Order: sequence, then structure tokens, then C-alpha cells
Amino acid sequence: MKEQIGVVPLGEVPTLAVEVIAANITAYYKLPADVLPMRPIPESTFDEARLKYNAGLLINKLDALDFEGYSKIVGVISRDMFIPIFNYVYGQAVQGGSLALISLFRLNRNADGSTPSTSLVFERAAKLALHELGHLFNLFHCNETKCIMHFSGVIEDLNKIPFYLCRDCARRLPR
Amino acid sequence: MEPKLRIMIVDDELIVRESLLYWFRKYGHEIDTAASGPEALEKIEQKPFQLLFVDIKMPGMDGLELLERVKKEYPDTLVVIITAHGSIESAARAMRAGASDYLLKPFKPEQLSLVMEKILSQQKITSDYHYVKGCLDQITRFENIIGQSPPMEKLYSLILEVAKSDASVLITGETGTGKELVAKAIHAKSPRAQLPFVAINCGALPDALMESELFGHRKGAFTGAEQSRKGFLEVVSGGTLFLDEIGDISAKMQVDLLRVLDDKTMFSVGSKTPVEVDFRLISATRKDLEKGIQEGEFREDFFYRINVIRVHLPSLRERKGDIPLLVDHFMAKYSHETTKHVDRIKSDAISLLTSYDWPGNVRELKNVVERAVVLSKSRTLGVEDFSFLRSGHAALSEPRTLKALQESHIQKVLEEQDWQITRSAEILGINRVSLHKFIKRSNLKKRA
Repeated sequence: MKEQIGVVPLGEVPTLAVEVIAANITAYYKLPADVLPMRPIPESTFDEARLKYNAGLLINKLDALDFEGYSKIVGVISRDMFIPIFNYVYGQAVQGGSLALISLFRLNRNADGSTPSTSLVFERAAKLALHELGHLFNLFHCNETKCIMHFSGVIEDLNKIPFYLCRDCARRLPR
Repeated sequence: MEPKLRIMIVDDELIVRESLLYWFRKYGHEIDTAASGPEALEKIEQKPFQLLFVDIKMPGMDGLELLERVKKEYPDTLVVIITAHGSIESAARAMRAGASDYLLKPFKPEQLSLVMEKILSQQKITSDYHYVKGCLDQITRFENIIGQSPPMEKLYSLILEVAKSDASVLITGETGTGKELVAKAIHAKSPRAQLPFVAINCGALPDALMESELFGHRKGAFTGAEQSRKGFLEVVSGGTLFLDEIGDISAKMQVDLLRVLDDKTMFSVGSKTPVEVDFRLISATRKDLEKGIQEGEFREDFFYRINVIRVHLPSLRERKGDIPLLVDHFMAKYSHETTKHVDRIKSDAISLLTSYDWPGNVRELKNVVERAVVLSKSRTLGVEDFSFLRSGHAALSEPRTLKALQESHIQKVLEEQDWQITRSAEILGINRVSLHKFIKRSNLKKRA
């Protein structure tokens, strides 16, 4: 099946953000990426105790939806997400699978508490999507700081990493 | 690229195991999971893990108990404790027991990243340690001969001394003691080291073939000699000739070789032209050649020619202190060859191996360890892996000569009869005088 990427807003997400994400996927992975119609957030994935959405459950819900004609799906949500062992996650992907999810919630704030420019928020969103999509292509976290697959634990790390893959990761990318 | 680790997540909650499993997969680490302490121990016994993430609160064996067991039995394995119910007391106990870190669930992704950075640097220290240990292990070897017991230290010094000279060497020792290794070591340390080392097992060759192999032959020298062929004495040219089982060569071959050693020249079979030869001779035997001379089987003049320097190899019985070192070496060798993870041996198994007499010496030990590694179902060898040895243990430890067997039997009967000579003589079917004479001749004494 030819690779065709779908970018799906879950609930209310700025239109420009998903368009920037799709454009960057096409630019850096050289793959066609479409913005798909918005899907509602499954409220059953909200955890009352942690007041966040469970990323694992959201991925399961995405899996149950039909995205015919798309080999890989990147979901975009404006709410905060977690997985059971972590307080929060920026994104989640099934290694080597077809579903990834990113959250814009923590991208709207700098480490010092200030508000970033909209363009910087979109840049962060695009990097997150490119990173999680890399996991769908079975790329692992990379030790090279100049690589989109380098793990970003905090927002400053995300600012520092580039949009592109390092040479090693690019070589591992399936053709 | 970041080094990849073999990690196990031990938690009774499936959701935690899966979360961490997916997380670590993103780094390309090899991940396994266990829902309880006993399951984790079972898995570690099968193959080594470099890192364990262990939850404290688990039914049955709790995480701290598992940590203590792991640190005791597998000290190289790093353990990170994860808990949703943190307390200063449990954190202190975990760190005292050797935990590498302590994380409170849920934690921030960057906290786990920091822990992993720390773990990887600890892991590097462990790898460096193993590298240095490997270098030290090399020190306990001498030209592939393994051992650091006093008899072996003496042997190494002797080899170094012997290597300097060009005199003929006779290596004696029981079968399986490594006579060829010692011959190679002498060659490697000698001024002839860059020249050929040619080994011939005299016991394996019939006389005619031996002659042709050593001296070579001219075309047409005998039926089937369709081409001229150089013999080993010529091929060795300046190097070392090692004749193993020299005690097995015929009287004619002894004369032929004696002539070569005296004249430094030889004739190919079928040739009348002398060829100059230059080699150093190292011979080896498990036989008692002096006895062979007395019985007329071995030429005295040839014996003195090959026995200029005598190197006697200790049996494994005489250097039992080297057994753990040798076992480690063979275990690593066969684990590598069979790609099985067998890297540990229990102390009672070492005790069993040390108590055995090893009539086949290092060769027998090598075969025993190989068999145990091949058949082992876990990474640790135990007494049960050597049970085949134990069944033959008593029989093989018994005396192997008739005389020794006779002495041992008479001693046994005397002990059973509390050294009552008349009763013992009756049981043995000999008269009292003969028994007294035997006791005196064999110097038998009542055991304490």
C-alpha cells in the first residue's frame, strides 16, 4: 500500500496547526499528508482522578475508527494527556504501528512560564508530529541531539531539536 | 547510537508493565516483563538482564525482597525501584540494598530520561570493569596455558628458560595435561618463533608412513610414489619439530632420527643425496621411557639425545586450585560457541569438580564443561549439570593399577576386620605370614 498520511484533529484544534503539521510531514518525509475531518474526543478516555486524557485509551479509540486509504494516522488534540506511569506525555505512538497522537496542551507555555509566539507553538507541534511519525516508521529514540528522533523530555529540548532526521535515522527509514 | 539494554519490568499491574514496555521499545531496548518476583527470578535465571524496573508493592515476594535477592545473586544487574507508595523508609532501604534509583509513580518523562542516562553511565562502568577483568584474565594465561597455581608458575619460568636454549626437550605428563600447548609455548618464546612449528603424532602413524612423512620421498621410491615429496624434517626448516607420543616409535625410526639429530643431515626415501636440516626437537610422551629402556623397548642413546631438558607437566590433581579458573575459561568458550547464556556456576558444583580426581586431566575437564554447557537449561551450572560425573566418580577415583588395587583391597579388609590379621587373612584367602609380609612391603598402616 502506498504511504498516505492522515492528520486528524480530535475535538477543537486550531485549523492552522493541523495544516502546518501536514505540510511539514510532506516536506520532511516526502509523503502526501491530508488534513482529515475533525473527530470528537471520546470522553471515556478522560481520567477523573488525574484530570487528563489517557493517551493509550485514545489510541485504542482511534484504532476503532475507519480511515480508509490512509496508511498512517496522526491524531492532534488540544487537551493534556498522560500514560499510567507518566504525569503527562507530549505524544504517543505505537512503535512500528499506524497510529500516533500528539497534544498541543503543553506547547503553549515556555519553561519560564511566558507565552510563546503562535509560530513557535506550531513549530513545536510539527516537530512532535514528525517525531511520533518516526516511531510509526519504526525509528527509535536517537542519541544524536541534531535529530528529530532525539527524545524531548522538556519543552526546551523540543525547541532545540531540528525538524530533520540525522543521517543514521534517515538511512533506517523504510523506502 | 545509544547502547541497547536488556530490561525487565516487574510490576503486578499490567497497565504499568505495558506503558513502560512501549516506552522503552521506542529506544530499541530489548524488553521483557514479569508480574511477580518469582517470575522475574525465573527469567533472570534463564538469561541475563542488565536493568530491572521493580515495583515495591507486589503480592508474595515484594519489590525490596526481589531487589535483595537480585543484588545478592546477580550483582551486575542494576535495579530501579518504582512505587506509588513512596516513603523515606522504603527509599532508604532500597538504596541500602543496592538500588540504582527510586522513582515515584507517576513520574515525568524527563525523570525517566535522567534515570536512564545515569543507568547507561553505570552500565558503561560495568562494561569497562569487565574489559579490565578480561585483560587481567589474560595475565593468568601463558601462551594459552591457563593456571596460576604454584606448579604452573614454576612451569612458566621453566618454559621461559628452556625456550632460550636450542637443546632438545622432552615433555612428560599424563594424558590431557596439555603437552602440545607447552611445546607450542616453548616454540613461541624461542628465537625460532617466526619459523614453522610442525607437530606429528607418532602414535597415530604406522612406521612406513611415518618415515615418508618425516623424511619425504623421491618419485618412484616405492609403489604409489608418483611425485617427489618433501618430508617434515625439511619443511620445518629452521623451526620446531614436535613429536608427540615419541614412546610409540619403532626401534628403526629411533635409529633414523638419532642419525639425523647427530649429523644434521638426512636422506629422502629413495634418495642418496644428503639434505641438511635445521630444527629444534621437542618430544612428548605419557609413557615411562626409562622403564622402556630397561625392558629393551626404547634405545638408551636416543633417549639421552631427546631428553636433554625434561619438562614435566603437573596433573590436574596436583593443581586443583586452577580448576575454577579453567572452568570459567571453558564456560566462556563454550557459551560463546553455542551462543547460550551460561555464565555462572554454583559453589557446590565447583566443590564437586574440585573433589574429582580428573584422570583425563584438563582435556577431561574441558569435555565435562562443554557437555554441561550444551545440556544446561539455565545460565547457572549446578551440581545436577555434572551428575553424569558423579555417577562415575567413585569408579574413576579408585586405583587404576593392579598393585594399587590389591593394596587398596587389603587395606579395606583390614580396616573392616579392625586389623585382626587371622580373620583378615581368612577373608583374603592367604596365610597370616603372607599378609604380614604384604603389610610390611606395602607399608600399610591402620587409619586413624
